[in-house]
Amino acid sequence: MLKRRDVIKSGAAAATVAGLGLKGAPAIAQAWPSRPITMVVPWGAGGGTDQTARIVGTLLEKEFGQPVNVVNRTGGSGVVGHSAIATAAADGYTIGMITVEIGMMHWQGLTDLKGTSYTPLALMNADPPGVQVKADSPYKSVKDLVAAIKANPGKLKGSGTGQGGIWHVALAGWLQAIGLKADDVPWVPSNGAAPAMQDLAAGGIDVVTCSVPEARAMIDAGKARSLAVMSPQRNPAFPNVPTLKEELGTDWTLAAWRGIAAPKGVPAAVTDRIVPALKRAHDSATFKDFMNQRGFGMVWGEPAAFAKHMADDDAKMGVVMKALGIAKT
Amino acid sequence: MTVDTLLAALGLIADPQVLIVILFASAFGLFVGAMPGLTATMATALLVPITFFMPPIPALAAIVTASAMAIFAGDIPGALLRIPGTPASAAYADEAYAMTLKGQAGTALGAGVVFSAFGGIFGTVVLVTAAPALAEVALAFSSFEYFWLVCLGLSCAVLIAQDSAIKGMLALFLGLAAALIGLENPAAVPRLTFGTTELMGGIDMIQAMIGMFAIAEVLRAVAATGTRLPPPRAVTGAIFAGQWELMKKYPVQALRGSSIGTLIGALPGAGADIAAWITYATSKRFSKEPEKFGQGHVEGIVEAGAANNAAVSGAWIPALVFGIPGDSITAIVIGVLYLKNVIPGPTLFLNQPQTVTALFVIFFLANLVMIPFGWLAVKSARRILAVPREVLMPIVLMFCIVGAFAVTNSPFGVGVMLAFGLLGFVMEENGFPVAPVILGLVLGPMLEQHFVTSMIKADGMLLGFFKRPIAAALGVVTLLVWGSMIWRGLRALVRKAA
Amino acid sequence: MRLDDRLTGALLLALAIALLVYAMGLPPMPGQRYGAAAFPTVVALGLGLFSVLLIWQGWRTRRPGAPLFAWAGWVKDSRNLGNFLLSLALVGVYVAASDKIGFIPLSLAILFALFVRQGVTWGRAAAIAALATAAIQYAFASLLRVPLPRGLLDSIL
Repeated sequence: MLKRRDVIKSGAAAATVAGLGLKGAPAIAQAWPSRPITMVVPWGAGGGTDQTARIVGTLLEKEFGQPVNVVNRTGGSGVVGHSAIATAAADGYTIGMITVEIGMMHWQGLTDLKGTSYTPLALMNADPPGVQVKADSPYKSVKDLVAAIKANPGKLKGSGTGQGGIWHVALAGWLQAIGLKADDVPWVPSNGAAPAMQDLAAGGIDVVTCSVPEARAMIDAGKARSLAVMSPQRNPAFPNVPTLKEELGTDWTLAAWRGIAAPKGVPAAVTDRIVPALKRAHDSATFKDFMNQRGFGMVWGEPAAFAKHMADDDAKMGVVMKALGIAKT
Repeated sequence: MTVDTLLAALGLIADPQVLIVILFASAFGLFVGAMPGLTATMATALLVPITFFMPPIPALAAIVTASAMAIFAGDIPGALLRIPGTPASAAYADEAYAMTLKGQAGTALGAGVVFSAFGGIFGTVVLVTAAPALAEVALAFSSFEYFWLVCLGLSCAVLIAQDSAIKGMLALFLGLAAALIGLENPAAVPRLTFGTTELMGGIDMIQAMIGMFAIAEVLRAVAATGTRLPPPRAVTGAIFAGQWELMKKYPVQALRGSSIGTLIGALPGAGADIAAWITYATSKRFSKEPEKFGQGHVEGIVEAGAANNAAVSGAWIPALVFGIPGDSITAIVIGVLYLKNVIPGPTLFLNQPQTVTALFVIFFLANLVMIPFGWLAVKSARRILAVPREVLMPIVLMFCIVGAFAVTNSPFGVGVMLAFGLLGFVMEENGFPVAPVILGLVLGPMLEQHFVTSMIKADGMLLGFFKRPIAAALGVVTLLVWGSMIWRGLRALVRKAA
Repeated sequence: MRLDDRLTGALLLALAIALLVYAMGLPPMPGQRYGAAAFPTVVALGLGLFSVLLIWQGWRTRRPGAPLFAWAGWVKDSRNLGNFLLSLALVGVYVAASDKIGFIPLSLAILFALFVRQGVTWGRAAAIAALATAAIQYAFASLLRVPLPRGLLDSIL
């Protein structure tokens, strides 16, 4: 610990650094927002959700002339942060980035929270998973892979996220959709997509179902190949990777989404200001550049569309998670 | 790297904006690293929104400089107050504090500065010369290899425990038990949460560390207001005097620490903190005078202080070569790289040689400016010892509260800190070392993750842990280390009985 | 609080047994052999093994007449005991009330109380408490953007 004088000294230094870009526009004389806004992120600093939230936060800051503090409330596979958003004061000064897990955690009996526990503001992003194998694996197409699974159920191991996570559901739902059993490819839980991709490259597992941007580094490095993508259309960043529908004729699709939401019961005066601001942020060049750079898919959903999206997603998750035996209700 | 690219790179850096950024980022990193609860990772995350508005080179310069400074600065409160500023300094905080009590704070911190810079530069040299080859090795690590590496890390608990190996192991298992709490286990089953949402997040290692080291220290101080403690403010000595002698006396230690640190840093999923634990233990294991460890002996600080900074550089190896983060700092860095259109991957070295070279030069610069900046920081910080304890300790307490809060942004985290503070206090009164508890908290989740996933992959066959060549080698080494420990333990018992 | 190694060992053994019983009640991972219980079982067994070793060691090195349990010297000094309990209580108050009251008032109160209690004069205590609180608030809340609880001062800050 430094002495007080040094605290102030180095504080002043940090202030100068911060001054390069942060505190800008003067406060607008308007009812809301009259003080800093907190944006809660249920996932760790540096991840995809965090980065997306920080970009949106910076853009909202410009819109409102008030600081938007991005606060990571991590842990419990998202439960802690999601519950922090839902239980915050509904005054518009706490918003948060909620993710696809909100439609999954309640099936596992981890929380009572659902999409309906929030005031939906905007759906900002959705990323479908791809089916990745190691670069030198014998499976040249997703058809080869399915044939190998059928020939030897339980031999190939899959990974991409924790037990019962979104990519686990993606794999299991896909297997079911083509008439196989959900556990014909046993799931190896991992701490997210990056360790799973690394384990794939190291030869520890055989298939990783995770989103294309998450797999991209390994694919670009020539360590992994993507065989198919679980979305209605091909990914513009990887035009050579076919969809599951093209290859196997199944309609199974899924996506991990991120959206902005507030606690339930936020006044209309707040939503009336924030939704258009989010729309402008979503359409801004900064946001587009960032999302394209990272390969994240951009989707826009108004509050009503966002709510419907969450409800549909929730029902779909329930079906697969029950089949997997991980749903409690 | 041709001369042309080097000149072009130097041109990119000779920009006054870059140099000013390096200066401010140094001060910022020193401050954040010296505050318990604020880590090098947090320093980097805080810089991200600011780097949005910078060109790539100053943006990277800010991050490289701040993270290197923060890892070193964690040593400062560790040596002066026995409160490690970042988890990477926890392994040898006791040792450095013991030196301060002996009036050698200057030597301890000087060694921190000099060997941090040494390790950082060593890691950078490896990054420049061998990045692609090392990255290939690091990527060959699957859960089997990590499992053995973690097991090897666990044996550090015995080496760190000074007086009683049994109490050291019990402290380790207490840490492992605390690591069970929460939802983040391979089965995603909430364990020991007693129905609370907050506990689903588990016990945060940093909050526990602040509690066990800092709060326990504050409690000891306030419980001894009447009795005059031996004041730790004896002559602190010159900072750099004698460092050259240390370099000549411990060249093997410095090199071994730097090499192990770089390797561990390059592994995705093991970073500066684990590097420090392992090298502190190797330093004691191979020392000619292991009995001096824990009594205020600089040898372990030389090796582990070099290792944690080497790990910071090493983490960039897989990050640059494959876009795979080597630690939590580079995980954030990769996002910034993408944002700046510096796409990490094997082609980066071909497509943007000036940027890569400029980055390397920044690494050297950052580790070199660490010496004058570190000197300034140490010189002003050690005056802290002159502050009366009755004023200092309440302020330390307040910083701890804010630091613990900042980790998860919840008052619950302050409660975790308090609970572990009390536990640490009681353990210390009963002769239990506290450092192994932190080691258990760091390694517990990794151990479980790699054990369970390996068992699933191997269909429950233990032989699977020896099937892959690197795993087999690590496994044999681990079993030999454990075997020799058990053998020594038994022999000591037999001798005592006789 | 000084416990004899035999007593500490017995307490830790009880903890290990409780953990083992708890682990046996954890659900299996669907479709997999190793689930949530595997690792807690290993930890419980390890904790138990070393507890037994500690009891055994304590038994061999026991000194006749030494008590199983003794308070440390500082507990007998009421001033030190008071300081100790006050520090714990103040952090406890912070955990419970910081959301409502806010960082600034609580920090002022905690620092002032601890300074005065340890013999700093009232005036100096108030001045240092104010300075330290201002420095922390500025460095953490303004510069580092840590959302320190605003509490009572919410409308002013």
